[in-house]
Amino acid sequence: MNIRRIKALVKRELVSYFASPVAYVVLAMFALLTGYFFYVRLQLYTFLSLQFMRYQGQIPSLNTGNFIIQPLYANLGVILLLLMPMITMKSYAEEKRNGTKELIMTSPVTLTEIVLGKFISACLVYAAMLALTLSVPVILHVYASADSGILLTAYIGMIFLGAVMISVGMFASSLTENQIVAAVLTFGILLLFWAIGWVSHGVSPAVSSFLGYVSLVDQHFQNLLKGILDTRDIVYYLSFIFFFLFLTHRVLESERWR
Amino acid sequence: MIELNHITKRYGERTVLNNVSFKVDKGDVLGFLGPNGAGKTTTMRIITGYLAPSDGEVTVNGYDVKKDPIRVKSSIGYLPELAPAYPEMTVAGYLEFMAGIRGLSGAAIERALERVVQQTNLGKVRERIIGNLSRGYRQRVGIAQALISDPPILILDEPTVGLDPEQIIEIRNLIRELGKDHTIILSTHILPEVTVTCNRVIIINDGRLLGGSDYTLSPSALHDEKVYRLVTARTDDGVLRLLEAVPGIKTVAREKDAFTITVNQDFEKPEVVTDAVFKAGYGVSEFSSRAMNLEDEYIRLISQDRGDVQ
Repeated sequence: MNIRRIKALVKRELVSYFASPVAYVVLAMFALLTGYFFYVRLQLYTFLSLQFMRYQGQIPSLNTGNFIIQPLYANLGVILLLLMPMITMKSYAEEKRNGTKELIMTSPVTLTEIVLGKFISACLVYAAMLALTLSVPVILHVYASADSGILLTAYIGMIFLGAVMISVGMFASSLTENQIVAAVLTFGILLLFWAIGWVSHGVSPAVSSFLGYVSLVDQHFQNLLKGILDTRDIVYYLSFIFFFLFLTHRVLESERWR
Repeated sequence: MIELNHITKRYGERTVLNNVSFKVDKGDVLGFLGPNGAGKTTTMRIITGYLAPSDGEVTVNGYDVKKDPIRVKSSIGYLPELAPAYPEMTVAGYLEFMAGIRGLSGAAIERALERVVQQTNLGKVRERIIGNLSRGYRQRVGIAQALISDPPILILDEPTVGLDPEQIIEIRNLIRELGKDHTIILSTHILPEVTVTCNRVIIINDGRLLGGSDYTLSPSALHDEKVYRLVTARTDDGVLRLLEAVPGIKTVAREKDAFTITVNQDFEKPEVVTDAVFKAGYGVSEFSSRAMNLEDEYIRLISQDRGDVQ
């Protein structure tokens, strides 16, 4: 693996992300929606806080953690579910359509470098999206003395959730030269993994707990939003990412044999 | 320098390349000729490691493409068909990127960029967006990209397709210039291109190399032969056999309404041809001679391949 070549790949990816309006639109919509959801939650929180002050001490469970941070970042997760396919859909599909895939694949670059280069670039775009939301923890911490530990784990959760979505998006994009198909596939796969734990009632406890474990959000994301940093969740996310990047690598390799 | 050994490529049931073997030596400018869909692009994609052959092996500089792809790819500059490029990038940005993934860095990238911009005459459009360039410029950007890491081998798939006559001449001159210190494989379906740029030619049709495994044609050798065109009242097998029996005639190819007869340059009695036809009782409405050109050889091989010539 050669860092210099990966750097060249990443640089080109970023240039083309920001040469089209897609990245700007996604960034802007994400910032707008984040702001809106935060505002709504904050409004409700202030309103309820004032109400509760009249019944002092009666309702102990109202705090920024469970009333703002958890629902807000869970909402952001849902927004990502819709926006992330827009970021990842072009990564391989567009290169196939333009024929530039042939240029990359005949350059002295390994498939691993290509896969990592594209993954890292999409992660950087996502990092820019997350950076736009940083006013939220700052405001919560400074004006509502929110627990900085919970804010930190919430962001760790966001980072991993986003990276997982990117890895799925990369895989879907490697399968097709049609960007719409890539986006729909990404959304479909992600939604399935999002909701896979919901069938838990009709199946045996073992299956149910397995599905709960496989689910993107049920345990892992929720744990992090509650401020629980568990290595099992980190391992889950890392293996998920690795698995889909590996699949992407296999798809690219197999295309040489068609 | 490049060696293909019994390369076969199948897409499902369809065999696109069938047992293709050839060798390119250092310094060769090899013309790779064939009708559209004959397998030229597939062959080039296999040499560059973009596609894996179903059978057979390719070595470049002694390295097996399958086992040592990175080393092989480093030594090849490749212009794919239709010169794909990232339309949203500037010419300079794109060339810097190609230099980067080919392992150059820092000042070396700048030097390489200056060199290829000069070689391919791209100075005027350096900072323009590739998507807004004309076909001719885009083709040149494609060639510049192939040259950026100064590889010893160049593989150019249809380098002049879609260009206007002036641009074609420009690109051909460039290729001729590059041929002095590069090994080049150049595919085309345009015959004159090969005559002016290549020192060797191989012809592919329907996935097979024509003229046997060792067949290569050097355009200069064409002057050893000349061609007669003969139009008679009848063009049936009888006339064909009659002509073939005439001493000194090398090959006879039948077109729709005429025969093309190939003879050696020292064939000095053209009248024996017409005499033979007259004796058999047929009339001759046209009999003319000219120098052999690549087109004759190409038609001869292709029609031989289809089985119209004995």
